[in-house]
Amino acid sequence: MKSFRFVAVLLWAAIGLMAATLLTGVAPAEEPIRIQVTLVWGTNDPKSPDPKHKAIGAALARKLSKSPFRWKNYFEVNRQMVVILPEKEKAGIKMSDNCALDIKNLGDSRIETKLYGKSKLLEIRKDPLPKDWPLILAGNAENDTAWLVVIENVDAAR
Amino acid sequence: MPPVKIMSKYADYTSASDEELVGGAKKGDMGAFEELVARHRDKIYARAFSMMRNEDEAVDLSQEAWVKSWQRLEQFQGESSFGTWVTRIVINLCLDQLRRRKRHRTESIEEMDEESGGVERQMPVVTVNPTERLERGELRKKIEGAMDKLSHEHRTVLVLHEFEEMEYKEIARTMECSIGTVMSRLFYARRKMAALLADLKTETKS
Amino acid sequence: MNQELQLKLQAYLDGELPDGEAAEARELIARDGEAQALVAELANTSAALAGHEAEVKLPETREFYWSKIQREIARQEAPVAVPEPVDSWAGWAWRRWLPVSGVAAALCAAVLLMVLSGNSPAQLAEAELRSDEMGAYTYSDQQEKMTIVWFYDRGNDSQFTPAPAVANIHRE
Repeated sequence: MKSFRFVAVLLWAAIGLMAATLLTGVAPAEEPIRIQVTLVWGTNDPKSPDPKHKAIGAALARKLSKSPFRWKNYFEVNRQMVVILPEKEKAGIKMSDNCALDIKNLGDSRIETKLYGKSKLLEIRKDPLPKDWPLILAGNAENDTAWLVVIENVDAAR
Repeated sequence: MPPVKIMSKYADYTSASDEELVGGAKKGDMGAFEELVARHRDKIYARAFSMMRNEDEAVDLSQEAWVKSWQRLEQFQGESSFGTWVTRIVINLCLDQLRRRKRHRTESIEEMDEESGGVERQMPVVTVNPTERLERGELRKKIEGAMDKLSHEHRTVLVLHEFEEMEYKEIARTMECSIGTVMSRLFYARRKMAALLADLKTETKS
Repeated sequence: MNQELQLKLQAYLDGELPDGEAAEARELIARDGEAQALVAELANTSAALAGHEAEVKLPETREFYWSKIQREIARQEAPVAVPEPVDSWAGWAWRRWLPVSGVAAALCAAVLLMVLSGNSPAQLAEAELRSDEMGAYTYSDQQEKMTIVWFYDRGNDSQFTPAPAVANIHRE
């Protein structure tokens, strides 16, 4: 009887574990992904010469304040939202005259990013992109300023 | 008796941040306020023009917005940027003007058709990406031309959503309509814009 | 596809759907070609509008434009008591003269307290640099949840060298 009870407990534990795995899981791989791409300009100047530039959102401002960057001010230059189907690439996301990206949805919240600077391919990279964990590509710009491309998975982020 | 003009002992406002200038303006510093106007005047005028599509009206409404912002400075607590706050003022002034204008004119049949919806469902889906097809300057010009072809309700909802990045709820509050109406108008405006940018005919057959 | 569904897809693109409905929209897009095409068109239109608003300049000089505003303010204002003199500029006046070095301001290696865990996105990343002129460093901050890739010009940005003690930086 004891061994029968033991086996029964094991069996229920296994079933419970399977159920827990299924319930907690992971988003199905075959889903589109909604990505927000923002081009940001970092500077110590209090204002941007371009009146169209806006202050960045509070959430991003907070993250950048905790980053190793010590620019005092960040301005949003351009922001776009794209929906990318699984295994498909959204090519030619133009953030400025000098900056563009191709982003591919690899599934499971992973993306492949191709970064172009002045029409030249700079890097191809594959990254997981969980929600609330932006990928920030950045570099120096003229006059001691910086460019930043912030890539965020915004699905279920609200 | 005119209000006394306060001159700060620091005449150079150009290096001050907006926050510092607003602080000075709240204390009556006209020089600080004038610097704020100079910094943001193009943006405020541009927003008024995008909604009114008329230079003179846009100039008048933008100036009215500046006067109102001076009068209401104490209400600005930094919940948004100063430029955004004044933009909201000019948007509301434009909407008031458009509502006044609407009460005095008859809607065309085409506008009524747009309002009732359904037209956009007949339009074929545009598969060409305009940013790939057109040069920047050409695209800007096309967008401007297309904006002129929208009714003011559809143009407004597009401006508020695409350029001012307002959420549906805020647009509904600003335009004094339901969220459902915002969604329908935005859908129509986007679909018509897509067709216009792709040079597709958008007239409906009667 | 009925209008309700079309508007739902639009709302999904705009981030206006609650999570449950957003998941339904994603499923629909994944399986339905018509839904895919519509969302693509809406997204392309938004992308076309973003950053391509006409650059319109005020057709009046600064002085002329301001003079009308100033006159209107004066006309509308009742006589007021003299406001207190402005005395707040000393605070910012000295700050503007603080020296600012571009690279030093941009990066402070001493405060790079990054913590990498085995599951950090940066450790799961793969990267291939395609430029001979550029180098790249990847930082990941698990506490603040962000991954930063810093691109530098190998020729000009040589002073950008993080402290060797910062072990959590991956050089590509």
